[in-house]
Amino acid sequence: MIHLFYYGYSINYSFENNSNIYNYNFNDFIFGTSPIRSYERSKRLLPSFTGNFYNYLRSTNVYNQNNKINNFTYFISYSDNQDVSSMLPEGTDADYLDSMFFKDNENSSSGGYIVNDIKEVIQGDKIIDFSKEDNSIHEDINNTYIENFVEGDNIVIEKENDANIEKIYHTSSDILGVLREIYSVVYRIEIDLDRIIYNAGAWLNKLATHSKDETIRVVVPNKVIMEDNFHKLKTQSEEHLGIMYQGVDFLMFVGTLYAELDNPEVIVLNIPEISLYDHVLIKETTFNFTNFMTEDLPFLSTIHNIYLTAVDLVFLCILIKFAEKVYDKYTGNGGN
Amino acid sequence: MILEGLFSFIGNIYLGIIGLINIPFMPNDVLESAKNFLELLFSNASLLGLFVRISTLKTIATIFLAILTFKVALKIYSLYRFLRSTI
Repeated sequence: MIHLFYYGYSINYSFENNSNIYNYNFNDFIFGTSPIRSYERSKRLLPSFTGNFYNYLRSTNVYNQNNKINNFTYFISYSDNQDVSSMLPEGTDADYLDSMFFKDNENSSSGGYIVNDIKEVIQGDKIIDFSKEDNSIHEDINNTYIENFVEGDNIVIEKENDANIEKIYHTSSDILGVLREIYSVVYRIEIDLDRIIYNAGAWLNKLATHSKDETIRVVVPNKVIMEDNFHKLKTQSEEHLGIMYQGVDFLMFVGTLYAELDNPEVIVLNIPEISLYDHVLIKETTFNFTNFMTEDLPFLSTIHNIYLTAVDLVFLCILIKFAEKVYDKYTGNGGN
Repeated sequence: MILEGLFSFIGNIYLGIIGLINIPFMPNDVLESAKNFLELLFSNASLLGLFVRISTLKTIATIFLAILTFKVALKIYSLYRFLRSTI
């Protein structure tokens, strides 16, 4: 039996600091040059692949670099329950075996957390089926027997349920994170529905066998699928609704300006140059009120703060009075 | 896939409806002028901060809008009650 080991270290990757959310595909997992994020139950993460697997493997450097596919993926041949620590490539820390990211599953010959079976592997020009003595009979990953498997035949590796799935944790205060979470749930539902339609039996089976599975989330694709549709709706609305669309657009513009308003840190008065018939009456002047008050006249700054608080209080009183008036008017307790 | 299909379906209905409507545009110059004017006002609003805190103004404006909305809502409700009592 040949086991495909792919291990990765848990990169301390902060999704909050990067808008790119990875959507792994087959290449990323098996032949990618980037570190692979490790997962629990990564056996389920074998991505879908349709095509000529033989040629695919041949295109890699799997043969000539100590079974190394990339820095994080190796082919290692070993028997079930065999200690594979001595077979790890040089420089690989055997402690990985004890970590959750590099751990064989004792209860499964097909590997556990990070191990996948490859029933065939290429040696030279031949495809060897290590599970069979008779090499003319091969079994692909879907347990379908292919006789006289030769170069050029296509192998289809079905995507496991919940492939391209990653558990993403975000800070709950991050609105973007919450949106991703919501989208991930929607995407998950979409995947499930898709699977129900195309593979209802397999889905039910998986539901039964993996009913205890948890911590499954979906990676949000880089590009939201519906982006184009929204764009189309927007342009069409703009074309047909004319002044109505412009009105809404203008209202949003004003809303944005309003939302961006904030207490000024520095109050600066800019006076433009005023001239008459080539005679400059007033030069262009800039006067920084904040500096003036804090540095030159700190006493004035205190008075200014008291003034601002008083103005706040006045506004508050006016508002309460106004609210009271409106309330009285419509509840019949007086007023006009 | 299903969600995408559903979205496309609703989107197509919407596009079909608005395809029947053709409302003219307001001249762009007018719109741009209004936008420029507002931008000028808002960008120089910091000077107003000398007299009133901007955050106070924003809060007041929001509450004022809420009260106005309350008034309008009550008027609509009164109209509804009137119509209901007469019909």
